[in-house]
Amino acid sequence: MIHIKDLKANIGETPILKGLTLDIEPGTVHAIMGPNASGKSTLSKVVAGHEDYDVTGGDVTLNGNSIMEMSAEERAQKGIFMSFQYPVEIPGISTAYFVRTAVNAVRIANGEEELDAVTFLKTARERMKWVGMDKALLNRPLNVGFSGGEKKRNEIFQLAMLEPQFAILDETDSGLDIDALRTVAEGVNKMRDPKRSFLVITHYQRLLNYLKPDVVHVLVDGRIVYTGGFELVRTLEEHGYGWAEEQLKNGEPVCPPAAEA
Amino acid sequence: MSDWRATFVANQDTFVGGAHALAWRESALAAFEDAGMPRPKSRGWKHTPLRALKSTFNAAPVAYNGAIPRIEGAVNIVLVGGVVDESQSDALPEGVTVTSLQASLSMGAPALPADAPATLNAPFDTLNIAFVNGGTVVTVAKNSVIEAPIVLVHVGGATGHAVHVQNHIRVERGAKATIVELWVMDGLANALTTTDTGANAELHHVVLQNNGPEALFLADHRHVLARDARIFGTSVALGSSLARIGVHTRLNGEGAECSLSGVYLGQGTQHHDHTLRMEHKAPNCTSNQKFRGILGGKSRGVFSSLLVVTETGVKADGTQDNRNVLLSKTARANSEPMLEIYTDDVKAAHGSAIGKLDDAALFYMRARGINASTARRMLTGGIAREIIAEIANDPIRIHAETLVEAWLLESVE
Repeated sequence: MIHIKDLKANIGETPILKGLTLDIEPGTVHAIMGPNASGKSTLSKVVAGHEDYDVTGGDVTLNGNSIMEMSAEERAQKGIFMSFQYPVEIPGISTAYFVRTAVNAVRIANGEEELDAVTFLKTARERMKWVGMDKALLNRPLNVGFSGGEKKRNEIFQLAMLEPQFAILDETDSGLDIDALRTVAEGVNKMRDPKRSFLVITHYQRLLNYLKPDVVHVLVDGRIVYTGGFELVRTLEEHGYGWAEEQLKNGEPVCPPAAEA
Repeated sequence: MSDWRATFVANQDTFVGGAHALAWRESALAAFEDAGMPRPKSRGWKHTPLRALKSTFNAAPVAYNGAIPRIEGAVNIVLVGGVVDESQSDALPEGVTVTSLQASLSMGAPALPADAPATLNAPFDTLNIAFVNGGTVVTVAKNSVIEAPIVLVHVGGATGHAVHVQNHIRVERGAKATIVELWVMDGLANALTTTDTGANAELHHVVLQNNGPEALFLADHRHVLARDARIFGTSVALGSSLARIGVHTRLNGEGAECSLSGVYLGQGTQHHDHTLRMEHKAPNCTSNQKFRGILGGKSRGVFSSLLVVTETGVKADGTQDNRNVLLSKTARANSEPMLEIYTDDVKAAHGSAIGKLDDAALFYMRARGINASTARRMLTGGIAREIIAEIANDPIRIHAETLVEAWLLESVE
């Protein structure tokens, strides 16, 4: 479904992604874990089409077609969704108006009919329930005065409304308490589908315990240095990333220490 | 002989009020000539060039055959070239009277409310008195609560012609009303509006300025508020090549409250100027100002506002908030909130900003599939709606929204 091949990207003159390769098949959940400044957020923004990043090499394809020349909106219309680490507050635009415009923009781009107001509201109310979001927030300006948890619920609510093929969750767990984390994870799990895949970027084990990723990648210094199964999450939680950085520095093959039984 | 005097002499036989009115008209014209046109950088006109006002304007009435916009759900009073056209106007609800100013001009110059503050548009106030040819006196009777908004629909005028209008609004003790000025004129419209809001009365005063693209608009607003009176004023400025609104508010009675808001939308070489003076003269008064500029092309917006708390204005609570978004590299904004405080125990806060559209917000919207131009329109519309939302009356707010939506479609790419 989504293939990232030898992706290189800079901010200004500084290389951040240094040849990142990742293959994500339909219906799978991948997780990327890595230390601060390893390039996790850069990866999500480059895939979403943020113009502040200068892509210097490599390619990203969705269903065989390169997305690199597409604008951010075209990528979204093709079915790529990024849940923001820091959702933006927009005064003067209600959540309902924003989400409905987005849903219909995507539908129109795909030759589908626009959702009418009644259908939209019915669907919105149902999916807000999935993520435990107060439906009163529909009429409030987008994210303005929302708590950290409400903003993240709103991200997953939008994911549920837009029904993308591929969703990146960029540190969706940051700023969430345990209960909110569980609700948000349940919302994401409701969206799991044989045709949809997820890339979950996180520092912590907690969210992954709920999402049970099929594949876990370790990102260090702009490259995927190790790929394993769900059991890798526990190893990383116990041992951190120091071992990988050390092995890379010494030119050794990257091999995680065994998790304690 | 000045151009204005030449126009005066040529037209004086046709002035409303006839020979009786010539004396006070003449003295106003003399005052205008004494003052002379403001020079560049003159106090109060620092950011607003007046070249366009230096040409000669015809004072003779012009026929008008254009459409008359009406606001649905409102009581529309139509003024063609400043003159009330009763055949086009709706019936008034009980408790409100609107009389044509023309009828009273032979009796003397129109009277201003007691304690009305001075003009901020000098010397054009004197020009208005010298040439005044129409307008209204609106009175809302004591304790009358008028649900339907009263709209003074100003149409007519023509390029090269000037219309000088006065609307005097009086909301008596305990009354409540929404009075709207809808401006859809061409040429020069020089307007004086006074409002006199009695004790515990409430006035919603909305100015929807959608004049023609070549129009010149000078509006001289003067509000005086009695004890516990409330004014909610909103200015929506869309039209005119040059539009200056000078709003001088005097909080004259204890506990009076005034909220002024406005949004000015500029494109091409439009110039929008809101110059304000909010005077806290009585104790325990509250004032809020919230203005937003959305400026594209080579347009320019000016917000210059002085909040004055006099020695008697103790326990004043005042805010000034002006934000401008520049949609192009060639648009400009001046934002000058100022305070002048002569007593202790005052709460005053002001904020001012000039910037471009928020890139982070634009990316967020695009990342959800919304096209860049739609996203820009939604963001600018959102800024405008912050102000439009201040209009409490539904039909008026809906009309303002429609005007702004049309502007956004045409002006934001």
